[in-house]
Amino acid sequence: MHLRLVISLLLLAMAARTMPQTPVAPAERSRIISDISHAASQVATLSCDFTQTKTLSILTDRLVSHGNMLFSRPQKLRWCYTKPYAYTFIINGERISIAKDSRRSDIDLRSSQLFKETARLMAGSVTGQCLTQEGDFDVTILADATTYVASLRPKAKRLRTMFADIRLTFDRASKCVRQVVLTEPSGDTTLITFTNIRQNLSIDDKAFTLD
Amino acid sequence: MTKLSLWISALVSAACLTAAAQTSYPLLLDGQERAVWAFTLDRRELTMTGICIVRQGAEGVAGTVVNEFGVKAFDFTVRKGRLKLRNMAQPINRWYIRRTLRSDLRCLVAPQPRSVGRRRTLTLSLPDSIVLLNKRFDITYRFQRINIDTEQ
Repeated sequence: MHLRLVISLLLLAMAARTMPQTPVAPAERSRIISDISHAASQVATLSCDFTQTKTLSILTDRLVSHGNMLFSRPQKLRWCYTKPYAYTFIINGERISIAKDSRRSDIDLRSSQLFKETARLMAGSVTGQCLTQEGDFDVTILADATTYVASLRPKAKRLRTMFADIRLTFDRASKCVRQVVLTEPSGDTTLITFTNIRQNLSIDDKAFTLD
Repeated sequence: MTKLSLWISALVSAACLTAAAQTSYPLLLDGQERAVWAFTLDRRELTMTGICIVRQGAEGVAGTVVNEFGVKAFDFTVRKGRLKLRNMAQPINRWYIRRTLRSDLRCLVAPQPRSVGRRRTLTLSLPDSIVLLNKRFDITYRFQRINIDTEQ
């Protein structure tokens, strides 16, 4: 009797873990997007570590890199790779600054539509704000017991040539982005996993400069 | 007799060089299965940086160049002595860029590397560093070997 109960519980637990994500109904979809958007609006700053795994289809290699990220509303982002290479990418309002080795460069977003879209996508992805950009993406929401997964298919041709699909995985309880998966038209994927996520800490504005 | 010896030496040397070129080229030296490079392309005010991974397979050589975010710039393969570019990123997928890139990459990764000729300068500090300058279009390619473990 006890053995049957234990086996039943184990089977239930396994089933829960392997339960596939299912698309949600339109009404539920709107509610989820609204909840995530509301949660994102409460985030003034964000700090976390990330691990990026790039899968290269043509080589069957995976390139793993690590780094950390800072975000401050409305559009300040510091994306810093620390291992195995040092590379820093900063969005600060209308400017992008890049540092690699001893090289530094600054780009005015007003002069580059491509960089402007990239900056908007990055800032929107780390908080989930991009879910409300319905003019830019076809959004599908899938859900399981612990997560929401938003699948974003770019509408604009320029972005579609870069990414076939962007998947954001949200923790169901906190509405925080835990994972981003970028799928390129060639089949390559980039998986970014966020850890040590801390919200609304005080971040010095100097962190968003290269100085 | 001396002239004959010189001719034979020259022919043997040429044969050795040709044999070496067939199995070893700057981006992937003889005996290597994989090489990872920090890649920089400079042209006037434009700079592109990233990672270049080259791998020797059963069918030939395959490689890819991605930026630090992992966004692909392009793939390339060398099969039966022919270099092909694949999956080029949209901003650089132009016939004149493909033609120049293919022509330049042939100096670095092809069974019989194209001679750099007068329009290019190739500086090798193997196994760690390669600089190729396309003088006609003022494009500099820099490869710096890095030790990154890639998982399979």
